[in-house]
Amino acid sequence: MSGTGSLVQKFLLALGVVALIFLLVEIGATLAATLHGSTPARVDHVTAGPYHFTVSLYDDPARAGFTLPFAIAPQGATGGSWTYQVTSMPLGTPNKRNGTILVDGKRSATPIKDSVSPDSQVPGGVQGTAEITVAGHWALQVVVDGPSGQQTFMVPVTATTLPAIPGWLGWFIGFIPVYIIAVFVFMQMRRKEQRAKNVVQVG
Amino acid sequence: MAQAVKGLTLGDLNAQEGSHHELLRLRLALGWTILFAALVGLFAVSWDIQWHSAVGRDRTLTAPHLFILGSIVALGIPALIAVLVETRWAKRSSAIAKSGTPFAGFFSSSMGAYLVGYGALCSAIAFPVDQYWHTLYGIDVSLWAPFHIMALAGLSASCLGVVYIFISSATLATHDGAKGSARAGYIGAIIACAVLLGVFSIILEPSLEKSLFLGNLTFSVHPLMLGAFGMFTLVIATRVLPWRLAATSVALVYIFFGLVNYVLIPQLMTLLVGIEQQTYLPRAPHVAVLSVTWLYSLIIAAVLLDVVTGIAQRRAWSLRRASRATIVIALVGTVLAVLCSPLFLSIARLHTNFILFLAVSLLLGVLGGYVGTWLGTGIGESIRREA
Repeated sequence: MSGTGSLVQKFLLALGVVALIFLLVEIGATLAATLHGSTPARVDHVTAGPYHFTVSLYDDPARAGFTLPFAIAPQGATGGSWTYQVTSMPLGTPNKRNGTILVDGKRSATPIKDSVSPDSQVPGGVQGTAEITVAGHWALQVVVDGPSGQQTFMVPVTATTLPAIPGWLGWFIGFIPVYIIAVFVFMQMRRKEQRAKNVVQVG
Repeated sequence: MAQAVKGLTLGDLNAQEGSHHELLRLRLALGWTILFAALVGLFAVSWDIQWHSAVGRDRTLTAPHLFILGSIVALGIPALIAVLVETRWAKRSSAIAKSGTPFAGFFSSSMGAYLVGYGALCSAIAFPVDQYWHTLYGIDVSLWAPFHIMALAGLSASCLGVVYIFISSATLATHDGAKGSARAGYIGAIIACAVLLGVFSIILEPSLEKSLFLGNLTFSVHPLMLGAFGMFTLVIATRVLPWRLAATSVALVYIFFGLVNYVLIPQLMTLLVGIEQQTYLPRAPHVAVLSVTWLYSLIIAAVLLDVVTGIAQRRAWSLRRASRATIVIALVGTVLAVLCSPLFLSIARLHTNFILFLAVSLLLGVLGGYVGTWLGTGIGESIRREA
C-alpha cells in the first residue's frame, strides 16, 4: 500500500467515525424530542363551547422535523368519557397541483393525524406527540368528544428549523458518496492499468 | 511423517482449507443477509415513493420509512461484523489475510464489506439530513434532491459491495471444490446486480419527465442515464459471472422485481392507508409508480450482451476485439432499449420537434452506454481481481 493510499484510507476511516458519531447524536436528539419535559414550554387556556382546556406544549416554537410533545387537560368537571382526535394542520394556501397545502406560500405539507394516549395523571386528559413536517405556521386541530357533545378547537403552533443552507451546498454534500464512489472506481481502474503495464513489462 | 507440499505441511494445508471454509461460510451467510436487507430497502423505497405521491410525506416514522431505516441497519451491521470478524481471523491466519483487502493499516476484510458498510453509513446519514431538507423546502421535493441522491447512492454502493462479497465467496468455493456454495454465490451476485439495477431505476425515474434546453435544442437525459447505469450493471454481470446468460439472468430477475412492485405496492398502500385511516390526495396514482417507469426494455441489451460474450468466448477472440464488440453491442442495446420504451417515446412525442429531440437524446444515450460499458468493464475486472 503506498503512503498516499494509506493516508487516504486513514482519512476515510476518520470521516467514517465522525459520520457515525453524528448519526448517534442525531438518533439521540430524535429520541429526546419525543419525550415530555417536566415543565411545558407553553401553556394555553382554551375554551371550546362548554369545555375549558389547558393545552401544554413541550417545545415552543416547535422544531420542524421533530415531534412536538403535548398534553391536553380538561378543566372543571372531568367526569364522563372524553375522546380526542388531534391533527397537525398546516396553515397556508391550497396547492391545486397535488392537493397539498403551501405553508407560508412556499413549503408543501399535508395534515397529519397525531397519536394521543390517556394521561394517567389527569382525569379526562390526554398526552401525545404532534408531527410537524415543515417550518412555518401550523395549528393543532383538536376534536374533542366529551360529556356535553363534540367540539373543535385550534392551537396555533409556529415551527422553526435550522438556518437554511444554500442549494448548491446541499447538492455538494449530497453528492459526497458519489465523489467517493468515483474515486473508488478511478483507483480500481488505475490498479487495472498498472497491472496490465506490469504484465507487459514481465512479458 | 508430515508431507511437505511447496514448503507447507499437510497440517498447514488442512488448517488453510479449514480457515477458507470458515471464511466462505461467513461471507455467504453475511452476503445473503445483506442482500435480503438491500431487497427490503428497494421495495421500501418504492413503497415510500408511492406513499409520497398518493398520501404525502406525513410522519417521519411511517411504515415505509421504518422499513428503509431497518434495511439500512440490516445492511450496516452485517458489514461491520464481516470487517471485525475477518480482521480478527486475518491476524491469526495468513491464508485468511491473503483473502482479504487491508484497510487503514488495521482492518482486513473483503472489498465488498467495506463498500456495503460505507453505503449503509451514507444512507443512514442522509436520512436525518433529508428530514431537515424537507422542513426547509416542503414535503414534495423532487426525488432528485441532494439527500435523496445521497441515500440512493449509498444503497447503490451497498448493492455493488454485495456483488463483491458474493463473487469472492464463489471464488473461494470454487477453490475448495464446493459446487453448491459456488452456485449460491453466483445466484446471490445475479440478484444483487438486479437490486442494483432496481436502485438505479429509482434514481432514473425523474429523468423521464425532465427535458433540458440548450438554446433551441430540447433533449432528455433519460437515455444517457439508462445507457450509463444499465450498461454498467449488465457489463459487470457478463464480466463476473461464468454463465452464458449472465446479463439476461440479471435482467430477468430485475423484470421480476418490477412485476413484484406492480402487484405488491398497491396492496401495501391499501393496507397502510386503512390502518392509518389516511385519505388519498387528489390525483393520487393507484398503480405502483416505479413499476410503470421500470426499465423493462433493458432485456434487449442484456440478451445482445450475452450473445456477443458467448461468441467471443467460443471463437476465442482477443481481449481487445471482445471489448470492442461489447462496446458496439452495448451501444446498440442502449439505443434499442430506449426505442422500445413506450413511456419514453410517448413523452418524447409531446415535443414539437420529435425527431430532433429523439436524435439528440439517443446520441446522449450512446455516450452514456459507452461510459457505462467502460466503467462496468473496469469494475467487473476489479471484482474478479479482488476475489
